[in-house]
Amino acid sequence: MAEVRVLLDPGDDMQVSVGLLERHDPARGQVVVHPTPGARSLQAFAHDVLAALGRAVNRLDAEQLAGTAAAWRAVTAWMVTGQTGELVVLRADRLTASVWARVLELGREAGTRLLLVCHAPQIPAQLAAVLACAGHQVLTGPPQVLDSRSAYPHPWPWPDAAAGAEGDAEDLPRFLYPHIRNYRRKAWISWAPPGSPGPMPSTGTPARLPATG
Amino acid sequence: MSAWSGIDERDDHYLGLAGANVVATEALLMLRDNLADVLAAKAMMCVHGDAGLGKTLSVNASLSALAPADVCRVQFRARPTPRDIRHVLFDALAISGTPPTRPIEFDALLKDALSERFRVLVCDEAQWLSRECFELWRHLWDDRRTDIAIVFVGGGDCYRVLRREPMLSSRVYVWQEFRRLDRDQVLAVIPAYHPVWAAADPADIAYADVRAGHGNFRAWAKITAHVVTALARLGRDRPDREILQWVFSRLGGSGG
Repeated sequence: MAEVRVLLDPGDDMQVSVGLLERHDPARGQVVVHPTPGARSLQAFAHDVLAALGRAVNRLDAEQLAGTAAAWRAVTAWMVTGQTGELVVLRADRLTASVWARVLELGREAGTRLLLVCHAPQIPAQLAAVLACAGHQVLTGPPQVLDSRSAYPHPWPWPDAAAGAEGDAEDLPRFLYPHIRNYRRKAWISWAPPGSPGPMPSTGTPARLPATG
Repeated sequence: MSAWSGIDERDDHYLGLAGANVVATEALLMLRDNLADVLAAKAMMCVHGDAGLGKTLSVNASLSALAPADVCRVQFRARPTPRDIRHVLFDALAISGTPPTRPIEFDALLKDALSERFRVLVCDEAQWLSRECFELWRHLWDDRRTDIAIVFVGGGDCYRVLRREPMLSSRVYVWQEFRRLDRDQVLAVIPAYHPVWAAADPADIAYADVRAGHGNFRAWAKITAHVVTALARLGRDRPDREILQWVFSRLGGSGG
C-alpha cells in the first residue's frame, strides 16, 4: 500500500504551490500535477497527469489517448516506466471524489507515494470520505513536509529563507529560464511572513509625468 | 469582451475628450512606482476604486511608459467563463491557428506563448470574474515556464471580490485604491487637465467641483466637454459662473 499524505494549505499560499512546482522533476521520480482549471472529469485529470509526466497533450486524438480508459492506462504505464516515486497533486480540493478514488488506485498500481494538496482549512467532506478506507497522514503546513525529508529523500530540498539568497540559488534546480528562476528566488526572499508589514515602496525619485496644460 | 494590443491615448480619456492631458496626480505617480515594482517582481497587482477615478487611464499611461511593448490587455463587460478568457487571450496574444477545444491543450498553447518573453497581462473590470476565472489566471501565473505579471483593474466591489479569494490574497504584491480627488488636488490638477481650465479662477473650479465634479475625473470630463462647447458658442476664452450654470443645467443639476 503506497503512502498517502494530504497537505492542508488554508491560506492558498503562493509559496506552497510555487515551492512544490519547483520540485517537479519527472526524471528523478518527482511529479507535480497542476490540474487544468475548469476541467474536472476523470479524463481531463488523466491528461493533466500525462502532461506532468512530460507527455505531449496536443495530439491526444492522434495518439488515441483522448478516451478516459486509454488515458489512464497510459498514465499507469508511464508512471511505472518512469519509476515515479511521488505524485504531488495541487488543487486537489477542487477535484471530484471520483478523481480522488482513481488517484488512490493509481498510487497502488504504480507503487507511488501520493501528496494531495488541499488549499483549504480542511479536507472537503466528500473527498475525506474517499480517504476513509485508506491510511493517510494529514500535514498542516510546509514545515511538516520539510520534516518529512528524513523519511523521503526528496530530490530538491525546500527553500530555506534562513539559508540566505546564495544558498537558495544553489539549491534551486537549473532550468531554461534563468529570469524566472530569479523571480522565484525573489519571491521566496522578498515576501514577508504573515502579519509583518508588506514590502517597502521603492525609494527612488518618482518619474513624474510632465504636467502639461 | 474585447482585447487590444495598441491604444490611442485619447481613447483612454472619457468621451475621447480632445485636448485632455494625462495629469500627474498623486495616485498616478504612486501607481507608476507600484507598477515598476510589480513588473520587476513579475507579480500580481490589484488596482481598485470607484468608476471614473482614472484607474484604467492611469494603468495604461503608466504601462505605456514602463513596458510599452509588453502589455497585453483584456477586458470583460459581462461575467466571463474560463473559456472566454482563454479565447480572449488567444486573440490578444495573436496566436495563429485554430483555438484548441480541450482546456488542457488550450492552456498548453497559452503557456507556450506566455513563456516566449515577458508580458504584462492587464485584466480590466476584474470584479466580473468568478472563482474559476481567477483559478485560470492563477494557474497561468503559477506555472514556472510563464514569464508574466498580472494587473487586475476593477471598480465597484473589485477589492472585496479579489480579497475573498485566498489564492489572490497571497499572490497580489500590491493593492492600490484610487480615491476621489480632494479639493486641493482638484485645484492643482484640473488646470493641467485641459486648456480651458488653465486660466480659470480657482474659485470657479472649486465651485464646479462642489456642484458637479466631486473629485471624479469622469464627471470633470463631462463638465469640460460642455464648457468647451459653451466657450466656442459664446466666443469666450475661459469659463465663468454663467457658463458653469449653463453646464450644470445640461448635467441635470439645478443650475438652470
